Amino acid sequence: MKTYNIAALLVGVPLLMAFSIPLFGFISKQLAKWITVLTLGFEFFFALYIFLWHIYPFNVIMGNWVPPFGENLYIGPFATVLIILVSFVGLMISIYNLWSANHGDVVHFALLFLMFVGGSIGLISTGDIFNIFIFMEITGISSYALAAYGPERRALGGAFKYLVVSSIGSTLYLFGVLLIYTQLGTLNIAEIAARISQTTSGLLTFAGILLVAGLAVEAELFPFNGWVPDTYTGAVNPVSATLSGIGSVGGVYVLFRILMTVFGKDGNFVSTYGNIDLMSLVAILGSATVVIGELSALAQKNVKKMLAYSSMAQMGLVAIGFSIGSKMGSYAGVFQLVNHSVAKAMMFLILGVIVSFGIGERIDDMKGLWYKSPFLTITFTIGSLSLLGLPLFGGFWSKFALVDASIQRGGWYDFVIAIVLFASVVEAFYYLRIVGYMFTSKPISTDKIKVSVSPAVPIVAFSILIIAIGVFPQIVGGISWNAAHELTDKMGGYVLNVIPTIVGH
Amino acid sequence: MVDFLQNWVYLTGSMALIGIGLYIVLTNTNIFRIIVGLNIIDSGTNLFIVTIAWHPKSVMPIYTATNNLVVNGHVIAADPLPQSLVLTAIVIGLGTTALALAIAVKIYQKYGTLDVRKIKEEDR
Amino acid sequence: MMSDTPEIVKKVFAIFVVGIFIVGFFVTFTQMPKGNEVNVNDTVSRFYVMKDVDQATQMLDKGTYFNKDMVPLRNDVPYTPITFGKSSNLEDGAANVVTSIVVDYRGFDTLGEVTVLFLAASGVMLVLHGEKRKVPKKKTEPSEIMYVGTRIAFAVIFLFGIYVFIHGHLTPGGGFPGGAIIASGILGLFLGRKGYSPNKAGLTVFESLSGMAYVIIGIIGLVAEKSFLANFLPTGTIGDLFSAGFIALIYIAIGMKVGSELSAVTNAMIVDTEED
Repeated sequence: MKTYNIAALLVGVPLLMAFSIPLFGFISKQLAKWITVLTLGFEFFFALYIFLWHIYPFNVIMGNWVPPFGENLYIGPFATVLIILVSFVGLMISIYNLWSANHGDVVHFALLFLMFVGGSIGLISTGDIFNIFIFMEITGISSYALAAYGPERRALGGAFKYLVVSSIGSTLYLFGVLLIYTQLGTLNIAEIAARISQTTSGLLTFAGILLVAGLAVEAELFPFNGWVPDTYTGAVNPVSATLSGIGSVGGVYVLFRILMTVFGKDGNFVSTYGNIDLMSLVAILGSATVVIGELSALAQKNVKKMLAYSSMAQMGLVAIGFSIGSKMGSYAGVFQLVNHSVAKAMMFLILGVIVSFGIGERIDDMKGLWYKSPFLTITFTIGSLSLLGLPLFGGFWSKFALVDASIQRGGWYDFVIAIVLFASVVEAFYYLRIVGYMFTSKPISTDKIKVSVSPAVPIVAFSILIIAIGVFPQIVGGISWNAAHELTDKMGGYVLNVIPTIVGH
Repeated sequence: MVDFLQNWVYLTGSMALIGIGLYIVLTNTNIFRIIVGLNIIDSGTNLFIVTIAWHPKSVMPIYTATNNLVVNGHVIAADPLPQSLVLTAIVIGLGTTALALAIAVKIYQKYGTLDVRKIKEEDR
Repeated sequence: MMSDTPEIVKKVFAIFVVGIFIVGFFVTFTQMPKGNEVNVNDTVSRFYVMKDVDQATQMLDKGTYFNKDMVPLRNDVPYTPITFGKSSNLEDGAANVVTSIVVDYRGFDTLGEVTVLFLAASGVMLVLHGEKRKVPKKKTEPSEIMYVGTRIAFAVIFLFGIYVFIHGHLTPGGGFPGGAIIASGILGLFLGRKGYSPNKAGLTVFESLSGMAYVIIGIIGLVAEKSFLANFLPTGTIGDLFSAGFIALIYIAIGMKVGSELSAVTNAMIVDTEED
């Protein structure tokens, strides 16, 4: 068991800075926003250090009580790639917030934003099944408040809906955890994962369904995603970007950590213990999510609502990728998650800039954007092309891997190929429609949009990253492959790294 | 037999609370009633957590001069771990309720109603 | 929610969902330990009660903790009896086992829990920002007795709250109940005088400093004991006021934090919601 306890600062520093932001807020509101930038910058470079110097996989032991007796953080390849992703997206959005967040109580907004990102990092790294519940609530409560922030009153309805659905979801999750505790008497993920087959089958089935139902709320899977369109549309644009680019990442991580590591049964294709194969269940839910999300997105006249439904559909593709259960499938899932998170966050930010210049958010309002701002048009196009999976853009490689994995799996999963292609065609239709409007139609007024530096930096960074991933997929590819290995090899990838002596005889 | 029943009474009670809460949340259109429903679900959860830690012959898990927690190498106290989890669950429920009430106050100011249907109509 | 669906469909759907939930649970209950079968010795809590996690860790390192079927041999861990008022220098000195779990064995959970409350308070302030305070109405001014009585009661309640969180490792209670007690005293002040407003900046400073104190205690553990949130103080004799190492320090921080936070939430909630 390799330990590297200093990495506790990954969770400790955001907490410390979040507690201190109200004090900085007395000095200046701008300072509070800069503190978020600095803290997330620290997180990003620390995560990058862990990745580049190849310190992972390691454990962080809390309070000198080793697992399974105390709590630990486990940072393997899967957690590393997601922590880098989350802290990068968070850093970029916090730079954007320097410019955009001016309304209302900015100090508390900065605080809640910081803790949303910090909580997601904790959620991704923790190795204790009850601790996951707490971090779900940290991200949850901060996102309810963030979603209600803003000058528009429609934000409140969306935030309330999210609050109700999400708190019921986390209650269901808590029930699942407690049912497991009554039988195994432990809360450590590694020990539960090793011993899950020692529980009764009725419990496995029911606890599994409860856990999936609770986590599908955050992972935006049908039928638990009714909150997505209202909340994303109501919230201000940086918050929609945060929810889409960071919140869903945490949700998917926990869902598949529970399904593949805790409930998983190793084999050529990972399935789960119990009467129902939860992986197939999630595959069905994911397929339904893709179809419903894409068709709803097609029908929208409001760009923001369209992005919300599209975000739902993309999460469905991610879920399908993981639920194939092979190494290739998990690789496709991780890759698709990275692409979705970066591209969708960027598109919400671009929309935020457009809206701030008094242009509406309907599709018709996008007409002739090229004549007003070539910069925004080109970056929006890059995001669209990546999401619909054109070669030379990030999204191509993940969709390619997804189709490849479904072909390898065969059987029922041949259907998935059709779904992926269908999704790509529909996405191509509705994204290219907007892009076409942007380039072709001449607008009534050709007032130029001058984008200031602070919103331009994240947009440029995101689009460079998308093209870089498209041209050199090995940037994400290598570590995604390691992450896929961690997910599909339950004992070697996770359990033995946390409790090496569990098979000590 | 009595011991067996005592535990089931609490389990059934917690299930009833959660069922009532879920029913309220799913059917009511008044935001305040939905918040009450969420609170009832929370109470049911907390009761459930305490129940799985408890059995009729258990003693409290606190060392005092007269309270022996361990007899012949066997722990006879109630399970302290769920009791510490319930503390967390209570605090989290409190936080969610406070935030929900704050949003409800704001909704009432902006829309002049707490009825979900009317709010939806006004947004159209 | 689903506003366009007719009432009856909604009710049937709700009964269906509730039914599935309850049936599922009762099926699972029949396989659960029931009544006097609930056995603490089968769970990891056994070590927390006996305070011998260190022993169990030694067995784990030697590879004798799990048997061949990966079942932990929890009852084989050697045990030294603990006598109240005599045993000293235990791995965790709190007489209240729940406290030792909350603050020490699973301290990271509690840090998260404090954060949740902090975020909820911040969220309330973010959502209700810029609201007018409720203007005191003339007709229901509280009486002189109420005014004086709440102030006297506040002193007693405040002292009791401090007592509860300082004795968190010995008696039931601790930081969260202690803080809630203090906040209820401040709620009394709100009732006693219309238009009472606590020092908002003071509450914020208190809240921030006590939260930072908790994280800094954790980081001191990281520096001194090479592990975040590790106990770096001697544990003393079980049952003494000065025992249990850093638990009292953390509970003082939590108590101050919860007290000021709940007072701030109460203060933020008193806003004008009258229609005009």
